[in-house]
Amino acid sequence: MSDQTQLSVETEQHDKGVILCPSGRVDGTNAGTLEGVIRDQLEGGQSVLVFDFSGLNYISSAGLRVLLVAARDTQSRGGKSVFCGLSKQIAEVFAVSGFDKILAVHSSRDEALGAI
Amino acid sequence: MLDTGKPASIETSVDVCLAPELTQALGALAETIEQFAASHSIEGEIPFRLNLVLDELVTNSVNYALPEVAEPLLRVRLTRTPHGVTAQLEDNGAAFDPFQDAPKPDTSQELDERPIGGLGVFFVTQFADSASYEREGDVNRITLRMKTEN
Repeated sequence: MSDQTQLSVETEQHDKGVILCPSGRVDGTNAGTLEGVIRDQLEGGQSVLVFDFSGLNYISSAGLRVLLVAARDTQSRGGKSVFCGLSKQIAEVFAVSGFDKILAVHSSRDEALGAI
Repeated sequence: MLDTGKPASIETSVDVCLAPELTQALGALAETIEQFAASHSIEGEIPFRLNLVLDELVTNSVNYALPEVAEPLLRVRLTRTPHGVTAQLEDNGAAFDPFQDAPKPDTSQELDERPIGGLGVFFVTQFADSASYEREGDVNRITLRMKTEN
């Protein structure tokens, strides 16, 4: 079990892109960790990122900033970022910030992969 | 206020000083809210929202206000009220009213146009039922209220 007060990020390679599964919390103390994982994937040639938030129980604006940058960076490389597995609370944060309009949010991983 | 004849409400508070270092401050904040919510029957979405808005304000204080201060002070007080919770956050950074001075995001902008920052204070104004700022002496005080179902 991962510590729910910390962030860990697992990555899974998929034939359509890379699936990133952050678990725990993303806030101002560790958003840079998520950013680093994303940067490594982009530098490794990936341009399609699937964010599966099933294990994520908290995100602040510091984390959203990283997602916004990821969405832009993948788009500018001809790829895209898609999101799935949002908890009710995280979906609310996306809605209030308007991120649900500018990011591709799907209800399941299968649906997210299907949208690529 | 008028005396309604009802018994005095039970108002209980917790008052915590946070270290002016982000990992410690946010860790202590999350723990304080979790315990306070559990022991005061604060349920549903409220603990998450409370944590988020205080996180945003604490992060701003620790990153921008307190590094300039010789003896930084950062404290949070949570008070259970009838049908609500009140949170007060104090720091002794330079006077800064986030509700006046922080830029407001346009949440209808497209991906390419959307500025990177500015969401933290916006969350506070969206998730709290009321939010106010006052300066008293060398202290910034932000008072937030959220309604609860019970």
